[in-house]
Amino acid sequence: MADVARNWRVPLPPTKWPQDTLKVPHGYGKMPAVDIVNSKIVKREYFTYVLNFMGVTWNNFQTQILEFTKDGDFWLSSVNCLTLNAATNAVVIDYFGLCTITDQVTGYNLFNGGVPIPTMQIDPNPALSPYRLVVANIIEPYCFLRGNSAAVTVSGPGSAAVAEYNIYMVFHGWKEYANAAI
Amino acid sequence: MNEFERRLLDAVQQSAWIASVARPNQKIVDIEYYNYNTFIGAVVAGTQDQSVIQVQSDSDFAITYMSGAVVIAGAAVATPIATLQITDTGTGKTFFSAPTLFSLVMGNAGLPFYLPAPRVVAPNTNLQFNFNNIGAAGPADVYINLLGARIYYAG
Repeated sequence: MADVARNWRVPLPPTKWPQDTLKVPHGYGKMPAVDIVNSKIVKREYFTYVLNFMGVTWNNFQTQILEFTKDGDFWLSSVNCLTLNAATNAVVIDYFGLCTITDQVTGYNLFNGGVPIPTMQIDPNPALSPYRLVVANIIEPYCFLRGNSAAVTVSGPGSAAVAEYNIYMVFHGWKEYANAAI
Repeated sequence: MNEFERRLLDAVQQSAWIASVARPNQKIVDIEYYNYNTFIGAVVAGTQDQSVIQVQSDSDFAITYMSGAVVIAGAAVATPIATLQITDTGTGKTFFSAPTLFSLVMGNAGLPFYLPAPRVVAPNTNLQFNFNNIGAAGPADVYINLLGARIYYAG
């Protein structure tokens, strides 16, 4: 019995990474399902894209284009932000605006109708409800192909008492490279 | 290495996590938790300063968490108005596409920032931290921790 226990070994199946084909599900940007051969991916590493929306006036909106670099596909995992009063640099935790992210190639909107910015905001005050804490997680990471871009829009209303907002937004994820030299 | 350690290493090597950071065609002989940290002192409001972490020469370092704190006048600041950029001087690549607010990438409210995928730094590489105190408060003392695993290869 002891010999069996010592020699018993579960053959662990190798986990598949990277996945051989990247599937874009049916319905993304009204496209049919697409399989992209992904087997040449050799490496992935964490990366964060940054967009700063400066001087967003209350009851208004601002759009910026997030350009993804050509050296690798970017898988978006989560989005965070922090909103400051532009005049005082005080943290604003109840800027009830919406954020939309639209893939410029497929036209797919990651958040149907937009996501409330307070759900993306890191909570500076732990005394507040823990349900307000942390990120807007993309349930299934979304792939922006290399050289792609996304249109990110933040819109008010906010509060007339705060004339302008500075919204610092980060897009956390990872890059996947096809070139072994990278 | 005892039997438990050997089986644990087998299990780790089969994981997607290690598959995404391991060097191809090289045998991993050990993986251990490690923490590199650095300190940038007395950064006056409206100025910037930098610091360097040198990764040791005997192993890769796979970063999985980052955490940091900014202390002004003896008290930790919950949301420092300061930006940070991290540069891997070996490859020239940065961690962020632009300098970003410290608490968006270094954790918040006592919790570290969990990287959605590991970031591997090669042996004998310098990581440069550029801290810019863009707010009105200071001088700021900055503490930065990189938590992850050192990966040792045979040969």
